[in-house]
Amino acid sequence: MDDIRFEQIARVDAQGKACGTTAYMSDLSFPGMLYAWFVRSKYPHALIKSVDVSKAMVLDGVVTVLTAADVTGFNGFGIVNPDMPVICGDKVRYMGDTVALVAATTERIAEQAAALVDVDYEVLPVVDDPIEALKPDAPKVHDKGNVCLHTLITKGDVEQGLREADVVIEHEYRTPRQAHTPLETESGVAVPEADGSLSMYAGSQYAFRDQLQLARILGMNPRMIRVYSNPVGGGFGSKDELTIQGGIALLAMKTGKPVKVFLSREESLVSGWKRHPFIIRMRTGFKSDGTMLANDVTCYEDKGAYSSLGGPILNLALEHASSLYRVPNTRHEGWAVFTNNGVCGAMRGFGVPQVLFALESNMHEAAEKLGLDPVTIRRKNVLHQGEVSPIGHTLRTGVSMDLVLDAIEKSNLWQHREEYKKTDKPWLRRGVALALAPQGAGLGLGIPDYAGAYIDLDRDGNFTLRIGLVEYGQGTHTGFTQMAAGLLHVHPSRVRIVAGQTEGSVDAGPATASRSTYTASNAIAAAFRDFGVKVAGALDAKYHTGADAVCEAKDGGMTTPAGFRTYEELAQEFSQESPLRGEGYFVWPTADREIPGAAGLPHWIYSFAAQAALVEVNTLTGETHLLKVATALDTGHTVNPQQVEGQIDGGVAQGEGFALFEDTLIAKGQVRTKNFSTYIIPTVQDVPEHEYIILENPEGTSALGVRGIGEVVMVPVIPAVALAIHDATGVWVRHLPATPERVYRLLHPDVQ
Amino acid sequence: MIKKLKYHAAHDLKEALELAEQFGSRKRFLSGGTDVMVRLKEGLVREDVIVDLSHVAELRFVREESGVVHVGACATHADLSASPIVRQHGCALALAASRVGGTQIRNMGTVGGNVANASPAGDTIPAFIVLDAVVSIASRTGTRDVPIIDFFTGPGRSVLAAEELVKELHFPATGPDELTGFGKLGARQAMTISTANVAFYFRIGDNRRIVEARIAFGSVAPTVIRAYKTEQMFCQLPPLLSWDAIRGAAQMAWKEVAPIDDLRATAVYRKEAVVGLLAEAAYEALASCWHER
Ligand SMILES: Cc1cc2nc3c(=O)[nH]c(=O)nc-3n(C[C@H](O)[C@H](O)[C@H](O)COP(=O)(O)OP(=O)(O)OC[C@H]3O[C@@H](n4cnc5c(N)ncnc54)[C@H](O)[C@@H]3O)c2cc1C
Repeated sequence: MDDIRFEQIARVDAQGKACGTTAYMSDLSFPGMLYAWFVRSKYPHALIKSVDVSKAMVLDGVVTVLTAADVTGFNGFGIVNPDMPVICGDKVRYMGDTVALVAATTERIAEQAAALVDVDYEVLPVVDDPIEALKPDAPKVHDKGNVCLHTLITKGDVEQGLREADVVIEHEYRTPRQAHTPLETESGVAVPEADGSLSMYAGSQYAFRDQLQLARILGMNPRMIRVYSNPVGGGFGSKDELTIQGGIALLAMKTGKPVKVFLSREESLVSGWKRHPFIIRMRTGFKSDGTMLANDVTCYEDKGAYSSLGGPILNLALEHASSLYRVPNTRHEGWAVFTNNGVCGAMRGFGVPQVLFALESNMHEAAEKLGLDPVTIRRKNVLHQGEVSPIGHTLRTGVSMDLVLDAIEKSNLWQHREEYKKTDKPWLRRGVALALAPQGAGLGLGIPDYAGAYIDLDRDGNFTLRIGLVEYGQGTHTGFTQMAAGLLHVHPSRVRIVAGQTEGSVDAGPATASRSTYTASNAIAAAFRDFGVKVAGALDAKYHTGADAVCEAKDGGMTTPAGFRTYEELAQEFSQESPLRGEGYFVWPTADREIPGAAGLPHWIYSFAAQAALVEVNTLTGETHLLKVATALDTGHTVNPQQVEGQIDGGVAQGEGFALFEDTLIAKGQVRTKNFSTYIIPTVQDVPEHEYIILENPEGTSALGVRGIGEVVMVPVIPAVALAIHDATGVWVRHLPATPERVYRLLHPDVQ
Repeated sequence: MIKKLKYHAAHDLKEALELAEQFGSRKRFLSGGTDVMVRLKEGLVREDVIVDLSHVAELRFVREESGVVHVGACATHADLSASPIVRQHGCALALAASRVGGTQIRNMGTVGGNVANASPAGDTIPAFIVLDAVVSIASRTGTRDVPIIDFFTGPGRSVLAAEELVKELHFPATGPDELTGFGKLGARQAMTISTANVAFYFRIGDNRRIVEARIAFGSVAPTVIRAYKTEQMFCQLPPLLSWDAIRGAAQMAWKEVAPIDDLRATAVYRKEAVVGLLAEAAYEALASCWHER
């Protein structure tokens, strides 16, 4: 492992973003540009009998109107299973489905034309509950039925384990349909080029996969499609899958003009991806000393209308359904079920927040029943490196469950919780609780998880780092810059990044799954090693210094067999025609064994965090305020302390939203919460004070010792908030979000 | 999509009234625009002429004259919550204004807009009601005064005629023996429409007894309402700070509200929660008031 000491530097993208000069893809415009309008379905579930675009076509300013028949390639997309039509031809399955696409000279005309598209529907009954949808007589969302995926993972004998248990905690939990709500909604511009190729400018999490999906939709050679997806105005998973790109690509190719779209918040909330709501039934058995004996889990994942990543999300949830606790007997079963409830896809946490809310709640209740404290019961059950997980694989990489647990126990908030809980108002109650989470990072077994990076020595002696991973707010580009600069021994200002584009950057996989920083550390380190080799090779070719001589970075240059050379000198000599380039590739190691019947499981490496929350509950109204959160987090090796704190702040806010405020309400397929007056996200007035405890247990498989942290920071806070409400008031919150009315009704069960 | 409209900016009150008369029910006033712009976007504005009042400087004021506080229609929520006059002589109104939306909304939104909008959830309305405010309505032909309790005729409806506008609201300045306050229940701490709100006015007599009470609730009936029976209960309170007694008095509110189910909350919950909302706000105010004396 390279031992680099990272300094706190300002974000490399701070100035442009703070001053408003950074151009996002949605800020771009091109000469002759047209505006697209997506004609959305009128019904959540219906057959399309005919689509008549003649009236829309003749409106002044309309350039074209497309229907399913105009899709030049394959009319579908989806990362796992391309079952979502770009334009629906025979059937609509949710309110966001597209039935036609309009391109016009102004956005206003495009919208007016959309209203003139005449669709004849035959309305079908709506299926809006995943458990109902599994019944044989339920309306079918897809011809093959409503089961998107069924997974069963077992270890030991769960019934036997439950029989032997001294206490069994059994409950049903429900979690919200959280929306990602990035500042920048789905947007972009598709630009047809003179040579018949297409340039796609749309913020997204993986340009190289977008390129392939677009090639399939357009029926074009992927080499004729360039995707520029960086920078992104926020994603949180909502831009992992394609969104508007297919539609504007078709319009651009048809019209020969650049075509832009920028969804309104309302359209985004109706049509965009969401977090899957889960119904979780969990029976957990413990011995009287707190030892876990068995966990029997059944998850119903409300998939919404199309697959996207619903299968992998279900499986990741099942991988984590018993956390990384020592549980000899497990049965983790899950159903991903199609409904007409919008569409759900990737979101920060990827199924883990849902199941850990259930598990940590059962754990807490067991502790209470057994007279154990919440730290003790967890400490008794946490796994260590080398042990076997609840789903049966051996944990080969570092496991920091006990590390973060010890740290949260020592936090100021936990140590002084009795002080913090004091209040002098008779109607207020305060509570403190903690929870613990691992979060599998990377794409998991069976899904090639790969990254490349180039380090180019430019003509002027500065560097360009080429890597696919986009910046969508996480601060990763600052981290990548620091890594490359640290390895090269130059000031970070001398490294520039080209990322998130199929031309000029290198495929490094998606910016998802807490993988960017870890992946990049290895790809960049490999590119750096290769750069040294290239320098040695170049010197050898000129001075015969020996091809396998070792060059080491030092003080703005390299010590070489030909003596110390500054990078300027090396550039002068070797980078004038084309840059001297170091190429690095990294393939993730995978776990020791496959989990039968569960694609993508298990994961090789995990992130770890423990969080404690202080809440104040108003017993008169049920209002709950999250006052303080302590986070103990293992970063492996902190690259940029401010960015770590930033991830914690943001993760806690998003976890708080999940726990207290956020839910996309859908009634009979119709979204009721279409904007921020009804879809409630926390404001700056709602977010808590933070106590940060940053631990560094270097991850041995990262060249720089780093771990991903982007997701895990939002996970434990969710059960911690629900359990703190219990600590405050005695009620158990098992259906999130804990809105004032829900909490009030729990406090007053007699109220009808 | 925002439809095409004619736009007229009035530069003084006279011009505003002339435009009001000229366009009558074809026009919609715009003051801070924080309601109108949202409605325009949603396609809910019937009118095709906008008359902008935001440049009418003579409508933006807060002043006290011989025991009466006058608030101009174009005074913003930020103006009210920062005004020493309102804080001292109409505390409930300052508190209510400080809980409207967020900073940006308070900087733009006006009291005239809040009242004329006639939303049952409007936050300043219960405060004006317990302060016994009067709405001064102007038209080209003159002005008339309407007690605010009679101003609203239903959700979004008021006694304002097409050629009239709200000029100001005025209310008797509260004195040292008068206590007013405000409480709000919403989905979060800021930027939230009231699930329910409450304002109260208590005149404290000798021996710490409440001798006169006015209580108003918002978001629990078609218009903001007074809770007369609950007021009586507060006048029966013993002259000592007792949480149980205050909560008991507030309990009567349960009988005086007629809420409905909506996306924000059910009717049943609203009925329960307003009791707590009143009890909590009244307790806090009485505790600090008695503590000071
Ligand atoms: C994000 C957001 C949050 C909000 N939060 C709250 C909140 O917490 N509490 C709350 O009460 N409200 C809230 N509102 C609503 C709104 O901000 C307030 O009602 C505000 O006071 C309206 O004032 P305005 O000047 O912006 O009104 P405008 O939008 O300009 O006008 C509102 C209505 O009043 C009419 N009008 C305006 N002035 C006059 C006049 N002088 N005479 C006659 N008619 C007139 C207009 O024609 C229009 O019908 C919120 C709005 C938004 C967008």
